[in-house]
Amino acid sequence: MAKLVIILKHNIILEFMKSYLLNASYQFFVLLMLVGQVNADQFIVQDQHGLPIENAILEFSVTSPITTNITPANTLIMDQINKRFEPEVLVIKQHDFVSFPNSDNIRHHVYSFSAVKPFELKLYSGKSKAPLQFNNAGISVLGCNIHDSMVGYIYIANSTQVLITDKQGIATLDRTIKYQSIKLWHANLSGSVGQTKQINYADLVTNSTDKSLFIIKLALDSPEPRNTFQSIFKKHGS
Amino acid sequence: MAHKVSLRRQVTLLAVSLVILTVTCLLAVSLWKTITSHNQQINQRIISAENVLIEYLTAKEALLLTASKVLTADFGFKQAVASRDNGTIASVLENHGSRINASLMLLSDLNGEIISSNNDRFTSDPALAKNLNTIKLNLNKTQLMLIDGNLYQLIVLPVNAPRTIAYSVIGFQIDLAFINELKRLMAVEVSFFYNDALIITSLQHLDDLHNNYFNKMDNSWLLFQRKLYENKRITFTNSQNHDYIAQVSVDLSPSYIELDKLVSITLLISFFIIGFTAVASSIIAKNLTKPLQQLTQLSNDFAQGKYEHDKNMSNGSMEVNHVYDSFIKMGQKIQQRERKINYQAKHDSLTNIYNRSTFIDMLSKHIASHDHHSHCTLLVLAINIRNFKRINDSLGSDIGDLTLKSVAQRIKDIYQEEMVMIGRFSGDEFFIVINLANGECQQDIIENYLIHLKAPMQVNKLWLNLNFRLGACLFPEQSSNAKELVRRTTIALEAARNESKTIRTYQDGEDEAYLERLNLLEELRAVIAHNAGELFMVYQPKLNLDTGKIEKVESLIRWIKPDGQFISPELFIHLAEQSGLIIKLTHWVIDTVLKQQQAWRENNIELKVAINISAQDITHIDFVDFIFDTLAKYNADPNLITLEITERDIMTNEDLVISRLCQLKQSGIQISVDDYGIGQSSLGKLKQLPIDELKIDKAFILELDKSAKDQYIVQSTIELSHQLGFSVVAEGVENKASLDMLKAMKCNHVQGYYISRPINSAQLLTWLKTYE
Repeated sequence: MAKLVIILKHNIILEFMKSYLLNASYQFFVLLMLVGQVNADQFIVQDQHGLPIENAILEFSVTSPITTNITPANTLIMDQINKRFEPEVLVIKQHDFVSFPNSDNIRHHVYSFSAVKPFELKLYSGKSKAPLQFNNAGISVLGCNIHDSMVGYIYIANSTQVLITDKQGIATLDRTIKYQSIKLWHANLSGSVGQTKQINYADLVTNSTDKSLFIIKLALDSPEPRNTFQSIFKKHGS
Repeated sequence: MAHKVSLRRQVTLLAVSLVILTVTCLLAVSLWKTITSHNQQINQRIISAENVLIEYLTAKEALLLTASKVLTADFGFKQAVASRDNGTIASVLENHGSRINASLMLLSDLNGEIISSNNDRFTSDPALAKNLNTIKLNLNKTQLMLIDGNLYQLIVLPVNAPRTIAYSVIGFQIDLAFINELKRLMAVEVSFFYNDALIITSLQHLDDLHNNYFNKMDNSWLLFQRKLYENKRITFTNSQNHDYIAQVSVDLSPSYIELDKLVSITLLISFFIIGFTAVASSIIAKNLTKPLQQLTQLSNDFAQGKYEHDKNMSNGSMEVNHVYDSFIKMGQKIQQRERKINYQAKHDSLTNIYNRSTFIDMLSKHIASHDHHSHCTLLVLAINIRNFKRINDSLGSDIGDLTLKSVAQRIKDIYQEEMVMIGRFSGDEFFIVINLANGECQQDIIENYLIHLKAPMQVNKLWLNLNFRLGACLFPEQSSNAKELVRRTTIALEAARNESKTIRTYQDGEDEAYLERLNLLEELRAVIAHNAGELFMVYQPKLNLDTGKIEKVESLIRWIKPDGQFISPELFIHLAEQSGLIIKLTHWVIDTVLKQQQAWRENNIELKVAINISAQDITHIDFVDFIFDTLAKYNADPNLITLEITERDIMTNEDLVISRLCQLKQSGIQISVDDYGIGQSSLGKLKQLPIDELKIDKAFILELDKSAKDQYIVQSTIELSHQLGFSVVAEGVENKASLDMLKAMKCNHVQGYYISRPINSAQLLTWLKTYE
């Protein structure tokens, strides 16, 4: 597997410096990591403000080498911990199973109205339900009828090569894998939830000095506000 | 006076203007106060209305929010939306909408496409979709929005499953019911506007609804415009930044009606007070001025001599009554003084009997009142105290006055019964009127009266014997007119004086002669002034018996009227002396004679001219100067002038005449005593006189040749004169015998018809030639 080395360009660093979240130690850490992984291509996914995007999905349409051997279906876990889905975004392959164990000691009523797999599971603490198989590729949005604030996503990938970015917005792909295009998805990607973005290999933007470093920009919507009611009928003069 | 304002009007004006001022101030303050409090009230109402409006909308908002939350949280609904189960969606919407009576219930997808609604109108409104797209960005807010021409208060909430899959929109229409409810709560009118365009209003006048309506003005007060509505606008900005305006409007017209009512009542009361004040002050002023009018009337009465006003002032104030009393007192005093003055004017102050004019007045009144008594006879007597001047001179004027008083008293006392009236006309002249009984002889009465009058009289311890002269006239026989009676009595008295009688009764015709003489006097005055030849001088030659030549003439005045009437010189000279005209006449004579003498001199004729002068002439203050001035004027020689003056005239004011004569004689003028021998002058006096010549009166000469007595007198007079150094002239020589006699007696000059009668200048010149 070939490794893409992503070299941070000076101008990128400047851009980072502009960001109020980035500090000097983070830059040093990134540089150190890039030096170590020379056999892999690295993708850094940034939003419109240049901030790294976590939980962004990169699904590669692989061309060579074609691996014909079909991996058996796996069972993955979408847990509920502290009234949150854990992980928030779960990546599975088509036909994989997902188990909803409920680690909280309260009830959850997990449901999904997504077309890929509409379901409804009443989860009681400590009582596992049978895992659900997701046969259709796509995105399943999970909610809890009891706890409105709980949102989780299951990405059912079609391709064998699918990556999810870490907190630094970085995903690493073996350089040996060849692909034509990348399908990009994120929960807050502009448009509706099920929307994806396609990028052809040729259109990938590389760093001018380090050919193994790809920078992908995604436009995100800001998270939906929740329970923020404002009255316009303010008393005048008070 | 017309332009001055009367007191009454001033008082009224003052009172009325004070009231107007007061009322205006009160009205202004009350109006200001009312308007201020009214404005405060309106502001209060608006503030409270605004509060109510916001509370109401907030309450509605809360209702919407609750309903919306319940709807969007419903799992079944979410499921229906996710699965686009339209039938279920519609039923849920309807169910929730009916719970809160929401008039707008719709569901839109994330692109603003309407999935379901409770009214097809919303689906057909393309603006709504566009609006919903923008609303998405401002979720969870209630807002005002105009949909299909109607205004809604709405809330948009997302349907989360758990990500937003749709939007629910719930709203109330702000319709008439809504508005009216608001109006009921706020008690003011409420309207909603969008972009200054009216959407809905609680106002009833639908015919005239546009924005300007709220700014309409009330014109019921002609000069002032008033707002019909007091407006307050509250702006609500919705998520699309559209401004919706809620306007609360207070209809001011009811308060205007109240205000107008207040103003008109106040004005009405004001006018009433002003009117009342005008009337009241007018009455007070009238009461004040009425006494003034009465006082004015009183003054006018005084002016006309009506002093009798004892009635009291009617309804006057204390002060005015004082003034009135003072007026009355003043009137009484004036009356007293007037009576006194009147009395003094009518009476002689010394004797307290009538003066001349009063006497005549009273007499004429008496005659008038007794006119019908045809048998009544009145005797008018003029009484003159003879030589009263002498008493005054010798005993002093105090005694003189006392004497007059006593005489007056005595005149009153005699015939008290018959006495009608008594008056004093001048210093020593009294008049009385006595009633004569029928058949009484007036002469006896008068004589009897005189006897009583002449009785010795005691004046201040002196016993005086006074002599009187009486003139009498009878009414109605001799005159029936008071003035005439008095005049005729005076004439009688004058006659008594002239004729040296004690009692003289008026004789018929005397008055006419008197008047004629007066006329003549007037003519003489005119003739002297005009000097037109009516008056002229004639000259009688005097023959010098020593030389047989004519060297002197006597100038004599003549008056022949244009109609040829000859006026006797004795008559008119006498009149002139009586009237004082003699001064002017003598001046004329002197001037004429000296002028004539000058003319003669120019013809080489030198004649001495004698000029007759009277006592009045010589005692006149200017006489000497006049003589000298005229001499100078004609360049005459004083030595050729002889002034002839009678011895009677010399005696009238002896000392002054003698001093004057001395003065004249100094200048060379010769003095001649005229008519010597018939006067009362004594021989003793003769020696004192500064005279040059003596003219023996013709009474001794006319019949000299026949009268031995005359011859003795003339002889001795001539001798006496010569002894005293006087030249002697005899006048009235009418025959040769007399002339010869006089020549023998050594008389110096003769004059008379035998030589020549008086002739004029031209004749004289001719005569002189022939005579020589």
